Amino acid sequence: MRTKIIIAALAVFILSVAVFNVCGGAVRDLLSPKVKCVFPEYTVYNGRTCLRIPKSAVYYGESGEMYVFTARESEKYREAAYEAAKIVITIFYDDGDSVYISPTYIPSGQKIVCETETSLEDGIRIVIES
Amino acid sequence: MELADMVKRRFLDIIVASLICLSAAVVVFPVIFVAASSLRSGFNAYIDFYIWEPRYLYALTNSIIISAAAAVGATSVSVFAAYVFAKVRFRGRDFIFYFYIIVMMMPFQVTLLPQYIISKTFSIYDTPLALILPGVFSPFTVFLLTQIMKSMPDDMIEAARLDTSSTLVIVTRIIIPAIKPGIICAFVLAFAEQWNAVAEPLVLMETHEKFPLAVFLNQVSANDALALTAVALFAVIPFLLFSLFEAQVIEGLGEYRLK
Repeated sequence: MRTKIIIAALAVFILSVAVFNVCGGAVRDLLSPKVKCVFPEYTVYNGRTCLRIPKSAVYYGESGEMYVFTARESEKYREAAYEAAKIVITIFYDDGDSVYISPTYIPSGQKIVCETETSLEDGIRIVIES
Repeated sequence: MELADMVKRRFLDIIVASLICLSAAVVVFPVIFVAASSLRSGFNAYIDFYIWEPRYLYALTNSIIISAAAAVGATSVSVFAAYVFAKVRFRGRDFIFYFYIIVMMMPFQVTLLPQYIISKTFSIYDTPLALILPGVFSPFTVFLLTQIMKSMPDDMIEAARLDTSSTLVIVTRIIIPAIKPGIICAFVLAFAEQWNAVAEPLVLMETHEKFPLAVFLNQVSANDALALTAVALFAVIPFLLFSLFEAQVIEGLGEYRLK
C-alpha cells in the first residue's frame, strides 16, 4: 500500500512538472490580466520635448501621486512575456484627453498600459492585447 | 532481584525509545516545518511554484533530468564495468580496480578542474551533459556493484555459459536479475549524489536558467520565501525514492545471497 502511494505521488508530481513545463506559458497567459498598450508620442509643449500619453493610462495613488504602468519585458519566463512596471510621474500639462510628461520617465521602447480590466500591481505578468 | 532487573531493563528501554524518538523528531521536524510553512497561505506557494515563479520549476526540471540521466547512465555502465572487474580475468585488472578506488577516495574538488577543461574541450560546458557524463562514469557505483558481483558464485555464470557464449546475454539474463537490489541501490545513490551536487554545477555551468535546484536554492532572495517553501518540500524527492526502494537499498548494500 505504502509503495503504491509513493509511486502515485511521484507519478503525479513528475506529470505535473512536465505539464507545467510544457503548458505553463498558456496557463499564465490565461490567468494574466489583459491590457491594451500604446507607445507614448514625442511632442513639443511650450518649447519643451514631452511624451504625450492617454489620460486613461494615469493612475492616482492614495497620497496624491500619479503613476503609469509600462509593459517591460520579463526574463522570469521561458516564453516571451511582459510585466507591469509602475512609474511615478509628474504631469506638465493635461489637455483633457492626453497628458504631457517628461520623456525621462519612460524607458525608451516601452509601451504604456492604457486600458486594463483588472487592477495592476508592479511586477505582475500582463498580456498585451493587440 | 529479577523484578529489579526487569524494572531496570524497562527503564533502559524507555530511555532508548525516548532518545530514538527525539532523534527522529530532530530529523523530521525541518520537513514538517517547511510543509506547514508552505501551506500557511493556502496553496499560494504551490500556485507560485507551478505558475507565477516558474524559475523554481525550471530548476527542479533541470535537477530531475540531470539526476535521472546520470543515475540511469551510471547504473547501466557500472553493471558491465563491474562484471568485468568481478568475473573476467585479465592482466592489470586489479591495478585498474584499485585505480578506480583511488579516484573514488579523492575529494571531488581534485577532479573538478580537469572536468572543467574536458567540458570546455568537448564543447559541453554550460550544458546538462557537463554534469551528466561525469555522473555516468562514477567510480562509486562501479565499486559497489563489483563488490556485490564478487560475492556471486562463479558456478552460476559457468552454468549459464553452457547455454550461451554471449556475455551480453549472461549479464542481462543472469547477472542483472540476480543483483537487482544492488542495481536499485546504485541507482538511488547515484540519483541522490547528482541531486545534491552543488560545486560541480557551479563550476561546469554559468547560465542561471540551467542550474539544478540545489544550486538555485542558494540564490533565491527572501522575497521569494513563499515559493521557496514549496520548492524545499519538493527537494526531498530522493528521500521518497529511498523510502520506495528502502528494502532493496539496504539489501543492495549487503552481499549477494543465493536465492
